[in-house]
Amino acid sequence: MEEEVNLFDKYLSDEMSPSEKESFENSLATSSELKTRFEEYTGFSKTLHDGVEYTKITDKLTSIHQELYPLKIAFWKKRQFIIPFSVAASIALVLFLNPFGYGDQQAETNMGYTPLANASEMAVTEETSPENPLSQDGIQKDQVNKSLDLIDELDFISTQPKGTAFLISQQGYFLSSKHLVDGKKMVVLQQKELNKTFQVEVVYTDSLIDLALLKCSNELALGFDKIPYQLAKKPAILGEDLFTLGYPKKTITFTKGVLSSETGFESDSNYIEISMPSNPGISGAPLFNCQGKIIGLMTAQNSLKQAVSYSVSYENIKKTLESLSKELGFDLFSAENKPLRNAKIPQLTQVYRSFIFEVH
Amino acid sequence: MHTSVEKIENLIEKIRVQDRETLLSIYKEVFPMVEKYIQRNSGTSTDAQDIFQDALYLLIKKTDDVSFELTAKLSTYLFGISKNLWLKELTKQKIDANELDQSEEDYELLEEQEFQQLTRVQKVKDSLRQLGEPCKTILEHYYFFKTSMKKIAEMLHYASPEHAKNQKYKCFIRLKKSLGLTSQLVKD
Repeated sequence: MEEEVNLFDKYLSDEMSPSEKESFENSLATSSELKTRFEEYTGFSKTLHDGVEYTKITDKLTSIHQELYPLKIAFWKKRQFIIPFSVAASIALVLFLNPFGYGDQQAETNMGYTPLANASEMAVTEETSPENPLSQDGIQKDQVNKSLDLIDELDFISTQPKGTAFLISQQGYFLSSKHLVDGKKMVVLQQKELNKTFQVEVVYTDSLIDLALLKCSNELALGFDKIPYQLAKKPAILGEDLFTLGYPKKTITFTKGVLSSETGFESDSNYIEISMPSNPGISGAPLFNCQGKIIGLMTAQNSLKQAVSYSVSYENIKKTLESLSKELGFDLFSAENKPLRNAKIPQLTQVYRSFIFEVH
Repeated sequence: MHTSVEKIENLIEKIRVQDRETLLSIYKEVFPMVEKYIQRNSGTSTDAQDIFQDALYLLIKKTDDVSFELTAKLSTYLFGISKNLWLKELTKQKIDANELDQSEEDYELLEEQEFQQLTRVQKVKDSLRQLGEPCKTILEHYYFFKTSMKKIAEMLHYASPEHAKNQKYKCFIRLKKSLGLTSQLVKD
């Protein structure tokens, strides 16, 4: 085979002597098999040529794209900017000034908007102030560059968890709500079923969509099983059944709901509205569709209306996760998770529950 | 004085030779439209980047054909191809694409054969990346830049052109295999 390819190459690059050329062309004319193989080879050479050309062109276009949109950095800067100045983004503002929303009962009732953190942690929240530099948005660069010394084995915590976080990458990244981790460099996560209590660093926060990215140590990350869920391919539709798993109390709790509106509090398009029994503590919990794919991140409830909760919109989560995974260089979820395709919700929750963590 | 026909011909020629300044100004003008459209239709900015670059690639390839004529405004044209490509992508991901606003003319902009060509080159790009070095360099130089095996052997410090040829053959077979595998996976 190799000799034949060499022969083809020699012919195609015109390196044959006239007699060699004549004898090769004779063979082509007489052996239809050789002719087929020759045509296959030239066809393949062409495909390869075109593939390399495509690579070169798209590389060039990517460099043009980067020149026009020095994107990643600008994206974070933009986010950092929006918060202090955008008075109209009422939800973000309330979260920013009053991260947990319980301090001022009056304001809470007026706004009708309550982040879904557990109220028992009020004492901790008082330490947080908007002036604290850590409550600003963006990737906390110093922490990414110089990783904190995280402790992987802490004593078991028996108090009420403040909220929920869930694993989104085999490299040890978790998603949660910003208002749960505001002003902190590290928080503690716990998973009783895995018998794990450990520290995570707050790697990124975003008050516009009340989202936080947390990371545990690399050693600990190795111990997690393959993540069984994935991001949905498209957003949920009005009336679609949804469910969530989180920690409104000390044990994991399943809550079911229905997508009731494609916008959140006061028609904020960064969020969606779910008709679901309100459950403080469900903040930071993943919102799944009935196929068990992630379509949101639970964030708040409406204290004026019963059974109205809010989640970060699918588009926002998708966009943010994709940018973050690129920027920080980690893989989202797990590539190989097909077995749960046709599972019923109780089967899904059985598998999912060990990937949902208490935030303390 | 340039007539508008001359201007367009000039533009097409610049696209054909992949003039960076020209591509940059086209990118700047048209990409935001495509990005907005894709973000409105279940996609991300990254999706938009991929789709728009493929549309530009197809345009560059079209200009190789001397009989190519721009029948619409360049931006309309590129936007149309992008919409088409995004529709195909959504169909592939089994997302219901019926609700996308697509017009009849948009469909005509992208021929099936062009789309298949695009799919093929995308696979080659992926496979080449997976093969890594030295295969990538050898295959690129031999089949694209038409560098002789003698030069390639010198470049990569092979003992002789025969060694390089042998390596090239191995890379060739590996690429063929990887392409074959990819196409089977896509069929699933």
